[in-house]
Amino acid sequence: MSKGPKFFGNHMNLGLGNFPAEYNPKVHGPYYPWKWYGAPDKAFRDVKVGELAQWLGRRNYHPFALTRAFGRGLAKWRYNWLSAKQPSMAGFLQVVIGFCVFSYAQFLPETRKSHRHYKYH
Amino acid sequence: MLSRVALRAVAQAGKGHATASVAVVPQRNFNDHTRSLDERLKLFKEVTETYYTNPERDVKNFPVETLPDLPPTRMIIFPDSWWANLYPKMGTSGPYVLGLGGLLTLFGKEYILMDHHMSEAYAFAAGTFFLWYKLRDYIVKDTMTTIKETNEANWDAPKAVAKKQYADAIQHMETAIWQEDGQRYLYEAKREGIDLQLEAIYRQRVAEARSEIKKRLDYQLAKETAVKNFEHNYMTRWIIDNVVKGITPEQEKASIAQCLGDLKAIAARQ
Repeated sequence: MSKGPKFFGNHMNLGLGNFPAEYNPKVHGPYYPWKWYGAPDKAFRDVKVGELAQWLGRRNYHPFALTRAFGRGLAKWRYNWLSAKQPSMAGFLQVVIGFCVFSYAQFLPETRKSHRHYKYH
Repeated sequence: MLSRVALRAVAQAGKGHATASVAVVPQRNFNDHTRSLDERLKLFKEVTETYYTNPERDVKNFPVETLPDLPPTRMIIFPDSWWANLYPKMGTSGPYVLGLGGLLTLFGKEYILMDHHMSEAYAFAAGTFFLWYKLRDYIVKDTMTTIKETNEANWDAPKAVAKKQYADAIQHMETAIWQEDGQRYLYEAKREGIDLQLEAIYRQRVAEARSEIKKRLDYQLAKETAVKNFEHNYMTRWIIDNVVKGITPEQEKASIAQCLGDLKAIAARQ
């Protein structure tokens, strides 16, 4: 049983291309890429402000973990908005407007230098 | 082969160490007919037992997902779940106030600047709304037609074809079974005919044997009769000859005289 690509002998196993380590087909059934198969934590909307630091401390900030989280979110977005039974313009417009905002924010520091009207706020 | 290896590995991993991950996604090529039927059924059973009917399966928290409906939206693009999540804290109009207030704050603090590119945003918003308002029905209709046609071409039609093929095959098999039942009677009839032919040949041969035996017996009888007749005739002739030879002239004369005497006596009586 190979555990994924081995770049440097047996010393470095990145786990790329694998299912998550927590995924067990006998318990979880078919694999869905947008699902989190680890131990469930409190949802963000239920977290009180006082518990926020604690909640953030429990998160995993490893680059691979962040990448996987981004992948889960992307898969969930695609599943909801593009794979729907009757998709609409909404998913497409979300992407376009997101790009607009990103592009505007990219040039905002440059724009602010020359287009500010008020000195004090 | 890949998928079977992977499945076996999954089964072994489940037995040994539960944290072992699966590196190979099961390859499911349903058009691969190189496997035998038993192998394919075994694979199907393995997959079903691993993924669906396993006693360890947690169906409540990890159900089998189906194609989703589009999430409800407000203002064309924003998901309704944002309002739903903010409702307990902010009520109905709170999220609108938050969004508008945030936007106005960004404008007021000049984090968003009213530069000459902003007109593009208004034009884009107006054009998008115009297109959405005018073309929505057409696009939905066209999309649904395309989806329907795709489903029809890739799912319903092949299923119907497969159903028809299997129904035809079942019909064919049932006809074959019916014909096979008929073969039993046909076999009996043929067997009876052959029995009749054998009986006829047997009787013919018995008759032939009888006639041949009769011929031989008739020959023997005829031969015996001929021999007997010949012997009889020969003896008779031999005895007569010897008797005739044994008659002397005196005896002949006496006989003739006797005859004459007898004739005279007969004549006298008449």
